[in-house]
Amino acid sequence: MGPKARTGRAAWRWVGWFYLPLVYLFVFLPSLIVVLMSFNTSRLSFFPLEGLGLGWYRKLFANRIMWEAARNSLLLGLATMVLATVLGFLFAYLIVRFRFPGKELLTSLIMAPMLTPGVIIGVSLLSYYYSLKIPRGLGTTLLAHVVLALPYTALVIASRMQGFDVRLEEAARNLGASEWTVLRRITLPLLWPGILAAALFAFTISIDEFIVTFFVIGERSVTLPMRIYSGVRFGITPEVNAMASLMLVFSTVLLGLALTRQARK
Amino acid sequence: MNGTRTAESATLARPRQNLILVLFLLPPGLYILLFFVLPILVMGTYSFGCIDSSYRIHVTGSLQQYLHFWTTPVYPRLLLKSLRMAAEVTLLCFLLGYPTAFLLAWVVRKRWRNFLLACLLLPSWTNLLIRTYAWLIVLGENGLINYTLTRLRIVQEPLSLLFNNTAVVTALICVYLPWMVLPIYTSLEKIDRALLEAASNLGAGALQLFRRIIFPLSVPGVVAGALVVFVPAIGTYLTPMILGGTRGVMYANAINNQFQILNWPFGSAMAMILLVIVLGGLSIYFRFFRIEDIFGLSYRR
Repeated sequence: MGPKARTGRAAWRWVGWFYLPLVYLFVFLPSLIVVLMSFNTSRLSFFPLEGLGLGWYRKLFANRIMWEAARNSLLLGLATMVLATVLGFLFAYLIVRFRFPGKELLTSLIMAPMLTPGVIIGVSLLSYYYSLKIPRGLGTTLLAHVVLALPYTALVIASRMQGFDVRLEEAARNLGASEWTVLRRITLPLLWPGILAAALFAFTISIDEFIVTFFVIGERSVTLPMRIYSGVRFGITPEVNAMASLMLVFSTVLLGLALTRQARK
Repeated sequence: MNGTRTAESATLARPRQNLILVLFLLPPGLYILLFFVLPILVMGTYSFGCIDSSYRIHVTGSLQQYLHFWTTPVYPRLLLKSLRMAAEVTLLCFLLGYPTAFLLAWVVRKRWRNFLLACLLLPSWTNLLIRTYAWLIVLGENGLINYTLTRLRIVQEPLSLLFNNTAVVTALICVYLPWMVLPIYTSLEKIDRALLEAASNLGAGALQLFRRIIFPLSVPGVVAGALVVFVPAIGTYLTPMILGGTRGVMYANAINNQFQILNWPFGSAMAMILLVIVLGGLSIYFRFFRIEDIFGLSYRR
């Protein structure tokens, strides 16, 4: 690079030092506020803060309903993760390796939930369950979450699959490996990072989902977002902030682990 | 791409592949049919019906719900308002997000890139609902901004920043900005630096480099970003409900209202209209941009 380009780059770096912190501050502002308010001793989330303390965390740990909601969300997240990743893998394998009639149509149908406003998916499933007289609950919510997560898992796994060398599979077959062995010993291990990423995607989609859940869960069950929603209708309590802060710490740790793993490679 | 093509034909030649094809095709195919396609069809049928005095739905095949929609000025106006707001959010996300992606992909030192990108996505892992409520604490009368401004004596009375469209748009940008940055970043990062060297050696200035090479090559990323921002923004429900006040009601809230008052046929018709608009828009969109370019490659390592 010439000297001119280098000075240009230095100038840009100054712009970066100025602009990027502003963007990050903006994107992080709500999350930071939530964490700050979770330590506020006052019941009201106002400025100035009254004082700092762990009272809301103590309250949160004693709150039975909140924990039931958290457990439901976790179970839903895990179940969605497994189902959506398996289905996503099957579909990714199909679109990368096969040509078959109706492939384009099926691909756009599987991808469609990603590009359909959530409210439409929610009310259509509500109508569907109602017409079939299926009682609403965690099961019906799981079915809905998988629909939402499937495009992402299929996409992430498919793009990983496009990147790898099929000759490895061919070689294994030529050496006499059965389809099952090839899948188990070659394809899956090579796809593993993609599968993990897809699973993570599915989990986060499910755990954060509100609008579709709102329509399909019915009255008897509750997830964390639903619980928060009904809680804040009577004014947000800092307990919710405490829960959100814990979730943020959880995902930060998860992300940190993923990053250090990647860095080690 | 070429490698994949040959792989397809090579594997297809094997007879047992057909069995695998069916085994792999059935679960996801059936799933999407049962829990996405059929529900929309059922809702579609409801939209051609009406309710009687005890809220029972009768599917009569009449177009009365659709007529009602287009002849009541408030509904088309609401639809237009939602579309305009989604366009506003998308444009602002682009204007803020492009420089961000550019700086991340080209200016920031390499070892910081992954970290900064991951950080940008971190807030998306906090619950959307809570992040939306946090804006109440930021923009409220006793909120962060008003507190700071009155403390610094810039304003005497707290400003009313909440319960208007600006509050909704601000919160939405905050949510969707990372989703705009990510695909633009990916497409910028893929650009071959040798191209720029070559153009630069031939005498192209910085502006020309950007206009003739960098920007055109990043268009797929911009297109993907616009898509993943615009579509959810049209159907946004929570943000207007929490931050928009009474005047901030958007189309998705109106759909929900119809379902709450048990007028499912009209709610279904509203949902179908939005669906047709979104699908219609997408099919025009995809006439110009290939779906593989937008998605298949934008997530590729």
